[in-house]
Amino acid sequence: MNLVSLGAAFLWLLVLVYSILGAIDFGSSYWRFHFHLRGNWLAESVAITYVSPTWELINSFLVVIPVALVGLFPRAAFTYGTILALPATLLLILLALRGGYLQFGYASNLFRKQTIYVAGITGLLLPGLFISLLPLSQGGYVEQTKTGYLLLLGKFFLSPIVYIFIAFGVALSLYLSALFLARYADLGGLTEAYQRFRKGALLTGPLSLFLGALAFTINTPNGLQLLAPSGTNLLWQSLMSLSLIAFVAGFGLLLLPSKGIKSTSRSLWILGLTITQIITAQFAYAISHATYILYPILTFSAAASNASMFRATLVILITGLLIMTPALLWFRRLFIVDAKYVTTHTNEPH
Amino acid sequence: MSQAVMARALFGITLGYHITYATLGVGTPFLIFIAELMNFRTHNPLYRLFAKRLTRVAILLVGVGIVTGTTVAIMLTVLWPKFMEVVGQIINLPFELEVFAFMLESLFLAIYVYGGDRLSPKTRIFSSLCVSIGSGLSALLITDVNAFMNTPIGLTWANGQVEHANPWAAMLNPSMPTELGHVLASAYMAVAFVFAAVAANNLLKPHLTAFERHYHKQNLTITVAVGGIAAVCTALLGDAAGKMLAIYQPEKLAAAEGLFHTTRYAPLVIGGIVNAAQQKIIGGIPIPGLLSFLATYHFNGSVKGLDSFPKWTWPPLIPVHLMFDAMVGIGTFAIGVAFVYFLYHYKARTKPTPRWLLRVIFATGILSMIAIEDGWIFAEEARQPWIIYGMMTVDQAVTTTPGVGWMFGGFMLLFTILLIATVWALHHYFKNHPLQGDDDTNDISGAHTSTTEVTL
Repeated sequence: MNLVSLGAAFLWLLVLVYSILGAIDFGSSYWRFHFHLRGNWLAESVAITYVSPTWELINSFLVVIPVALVGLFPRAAFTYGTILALPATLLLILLALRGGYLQFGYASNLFRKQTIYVAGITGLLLPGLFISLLPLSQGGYVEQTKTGYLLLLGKFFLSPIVYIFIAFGVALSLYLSALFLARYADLGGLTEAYQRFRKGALLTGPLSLFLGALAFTINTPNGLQLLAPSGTNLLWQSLMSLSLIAFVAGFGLLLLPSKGIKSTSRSLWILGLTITQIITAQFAYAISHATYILYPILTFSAAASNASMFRATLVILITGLLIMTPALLWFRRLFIVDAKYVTTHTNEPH
Repeated sequence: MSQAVMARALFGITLGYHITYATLGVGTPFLIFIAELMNFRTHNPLYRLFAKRLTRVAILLVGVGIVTGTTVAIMLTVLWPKFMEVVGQIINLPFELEVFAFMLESLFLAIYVYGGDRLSPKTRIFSSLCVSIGSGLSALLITDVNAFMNTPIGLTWANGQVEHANPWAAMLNPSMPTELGHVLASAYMAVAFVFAAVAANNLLKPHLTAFERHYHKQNLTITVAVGGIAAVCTALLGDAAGKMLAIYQPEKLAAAEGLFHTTRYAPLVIGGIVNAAQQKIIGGIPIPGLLSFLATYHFNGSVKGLDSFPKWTWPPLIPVHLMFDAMVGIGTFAIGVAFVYFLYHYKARTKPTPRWLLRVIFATGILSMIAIEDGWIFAEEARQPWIIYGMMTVDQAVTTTPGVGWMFGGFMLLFTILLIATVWALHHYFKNHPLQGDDDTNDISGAHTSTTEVTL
């Protein structure tokens, strides 16, 4: 593997990790809103107990991606920076609105209620907006002019495939976060809340699979053919099969009635299988997308930075993530896997 | 308005907001750490109460700072694509490191706030220290990119391309030590005086209980102490920065001091309007030889004047000189205020602080935040027309994409809402959570503290 592929793989890994963390974070805000509207206080408090300490950390992880892009592939950062002026502004405004409200939410009851609405709605929209960058990168919406690149906004926003991707992002985020919160509720021994989230997952799971399959099959206009490696690439075939098997197994476990089972390991298995499903599918997507960072304008190797910067960036990012690991693990022990914390905090009003 | 002016205005106002939140976000965790430390050493619960109330402020400001900071990060790429292309090739390491500083900060802030009574006192000190280190490093690393813009090294700039890049050398550029030190010390100074102003304002209120008086007086003493020490450090580091400028960026120093001709025994002129046509400062107070001394340690040292540089590279002279003097003036004033406060404190231990001094401290809090903004505007304005000194101008760096005007409107609205919301939320929170002697200081997240309203 040469240096550029290593950098591309690392960038892919960052996107993967953020997509999972972000999906859980945004989805959880939505579920909180959802159960708040339906007056299910217990399910709502599970969602908020998780969101409160974690959202800021996940937001900080998002910043790693543009920073890595600028360090490793500055030409890609430049090109995306030019064409994304408007969509990125939209994303930022939604993120800012969400961040602002999550910070201010505690100040009063009036604000608290607005926070639930704003965080919920932005939590629903953001995964869709984020994932719409994928069809954009697959080509067909960027025009090369004399002065630079131009995003054909009209064509982009009128394209059905873009909306399929958006719907897919939203559905997958809801599915994954429902499973995560189900696990979280299960850990705290909150059976009723668990059942609520399970029901949410039962609805969104098949929908996300269907939309995902559509997103893979329908190409953007004159864009990348995502299914191109399906006939020739053995790794691609095995990854996609594994992804499908993981979904079937995970969803199957979710379908089974849970009466009389005391162990909480099943919810963990379901979550693990679903994350496997997502990782393998994203890996296959990465293979389909490989060599191009923006089809057909820019390849990874053409966008790469000079060798000294490239190496220094990789060293810093990888070392940094390794150094942060113990702290992240401590954080996880305190807030994510501490059954006592989940139980006590969901039983108190917030 | 030209595209470049519009983009500068948008980015400048964004940074103006961000600097306020970021400065408070750097200084407040430091004060929390000091309060936790004092609590541990003195077993005085009032410090813990102070830490708790500061934490509410910190969460809010750090959170808004994250929002404005993310905005700045993405806006950089959107508004200044050419600049960021160079940054990506040479000075990206601080940005990368900053991400981890930021992660350290949010991670330990969450642990400190939501860990509650599961943390031992020592773990609490450690967590607050990590938050403070994280936020401090964040500020320093971002400032390092600015230091590179002032004194770019570690590359050969040929035909608009970066060649022979040495990212590590670029990161350790000549401006780095003094500029970073000055920024951090000034943040600690400004924020300490802001909270001193809050304490002073509370002490000025009528009908205080003995408990309230004791609490605010104690806060006043500790914040003025931190602010005074930091102000002295700021001045020393600012002086070192001036000496650095004399060697590496003499044009900026000449512009700041309105010095047109390269001279020995150069005077330091306080105030006055710089007149480019007559090539002198009108109405200022000159102190002979002082500028030479400050820049070179010798009264007969030679200081480069603006005439050594082509006229098109001169920054706007009148505002630059006045902004520089305002910054130095406020810093000096703050040192004086801290000195007078402690003079009273030790001379008349038992007597309350005189009311006029409380009013002066209150004003110093506001002035010190103005000085931070003013200092940054000076630093950027005095580098004009360059975005990277001697390499790339602002006009060359700006985006070609139309629609900056729309972005401008949208962001102004967003920031105004954020500002109003911040002030409103702070006001509302502290109105609903009045100072209580029996406050549960283990519950920093405030989730379980009853408010005067009915909780959900």
